[in-house]
Amino acid sequence: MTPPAEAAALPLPGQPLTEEDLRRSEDRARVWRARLNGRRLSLLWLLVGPGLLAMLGENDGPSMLSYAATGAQYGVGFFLPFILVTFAMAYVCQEMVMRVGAVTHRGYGQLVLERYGPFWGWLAAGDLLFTNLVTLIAEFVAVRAGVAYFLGSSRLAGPLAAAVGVGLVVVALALGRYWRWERFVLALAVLNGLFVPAALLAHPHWHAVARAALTFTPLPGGSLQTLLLLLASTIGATVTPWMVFFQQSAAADKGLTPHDIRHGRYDTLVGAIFAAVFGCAALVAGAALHGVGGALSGAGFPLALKHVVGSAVGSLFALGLIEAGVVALLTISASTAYALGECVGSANSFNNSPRRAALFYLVNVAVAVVAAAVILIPGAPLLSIALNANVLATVLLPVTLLFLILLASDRELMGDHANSRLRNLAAGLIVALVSLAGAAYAIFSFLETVHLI
Amino acid sequence: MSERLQQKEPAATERRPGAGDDLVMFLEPDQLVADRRRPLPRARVSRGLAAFLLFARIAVTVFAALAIYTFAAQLH
Repeated sequence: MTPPAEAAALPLPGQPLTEEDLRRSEDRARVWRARLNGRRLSLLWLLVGPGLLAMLGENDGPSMLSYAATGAQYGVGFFLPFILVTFAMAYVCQEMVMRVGAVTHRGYGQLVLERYGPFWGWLAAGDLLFTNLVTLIAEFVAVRAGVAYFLGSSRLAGPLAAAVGVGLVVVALALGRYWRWERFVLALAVLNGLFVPAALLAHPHWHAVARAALTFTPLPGGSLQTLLLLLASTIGATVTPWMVFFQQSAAADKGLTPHDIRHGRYDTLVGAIFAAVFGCAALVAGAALHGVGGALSGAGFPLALKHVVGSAVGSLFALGLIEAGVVALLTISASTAYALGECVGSANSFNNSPRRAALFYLVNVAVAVVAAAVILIPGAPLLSIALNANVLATVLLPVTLLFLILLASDRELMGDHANSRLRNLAAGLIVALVSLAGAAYAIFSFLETVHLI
Repeated sequence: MSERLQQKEPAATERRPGAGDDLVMFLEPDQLVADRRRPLPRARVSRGLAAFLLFARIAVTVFAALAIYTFAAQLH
């Protein structure tokens, strides 16, 4: 058996091998053997991960609450097919992310910093840190809502949600290498499918579901601010800055190469399909509350569903919220640690020991601890934070996407794997739509708030 | 990564094989930590693109400030 032609790497003179190199090599050796022996399923199993985790991680607590709130507010209508459209947008963006990671073996933060300078690199990292902190708080809110449903009390739910969330981040880090961390989070992410039985048990009107999916009707009415909030929030529930940072860094950490791009596309596409189906399921389950009343909304969804369609739906929705929050906690903490490590230039890989990558491990845990501490503050506006987290991500997203397009189109960097004109056109349209949604919400909601309209 | 951005690799005879070399054979040269730490050259950015990026950045910052103000006002 000869080594792969692609891989004739030896350390440079005076450059010692690191434990990160060795662990990544072990993973790549398994990929090479599977490819050599024509074991297709095994190869797929070895190469999937970053795309599934980015997509299912984005079906997080605030996203599922946002989908359910949309269903409760407008019923099954325009937003059901709109979720499918937004996940198609997410696929276009995340495919670029995967490709750049596989070709360059570097994270998004590192590439922006090196190719466009520290000003843009640190601004991107700053945006990410801010939106990630807000989103992590929202994840703990979702976990707390799920836990409170089962405890029947919200007094103990906060500390328990904080302990579970931070505990899982620590346990996942203790697994000691990227491959194990990825499989652990993937195993948890499978439970995102709980929203499907919740939707089925809510006995949706299938005729209305089919009509909505095919015709985008009925169109939503009501207050312009609420509509814009839900539009921006739905976009922010599918494409966000942390997904860009996370999937590119994870693709590099996993060791994907240009030979793996086809499998990376499968990984991202399957993730997008699963996430779209599960997101639509949350909306359909929430639609059971349509017309029931405004009091049955927000973080009280599981309880509201229990009263309206039965305890099985309430329990499934509550479990789904816990899962959605926990998986996002793990992936968003990781994206923050990757980004800061890349900008500072320190070791940033799950394949390193905590001693060698102290900052990476510290940031991973610290952001989770800070967010957990916020939900323990009595009287903190947690529900508002949860519902506004996605909107903030949408508003800040366009610049992240612009740099992603620049990187993916950069022929010096990407060679033959650079974006085609068609891909750039699709990506440009997405940036325009996201910018429009974010700007419209920011401007109209501000004018309404200061009573100018 | 594109060959134009690849640093010149020393000849194989200059390398010092050691423990783990058999495993490292499964990595591409630019996947090694030592190679990933080498900074890439700056991209060439035209004045028009730089101005557009700056405009986008300022717009996004203003919209984010408006959204945060609205969020804060809704709390009261």
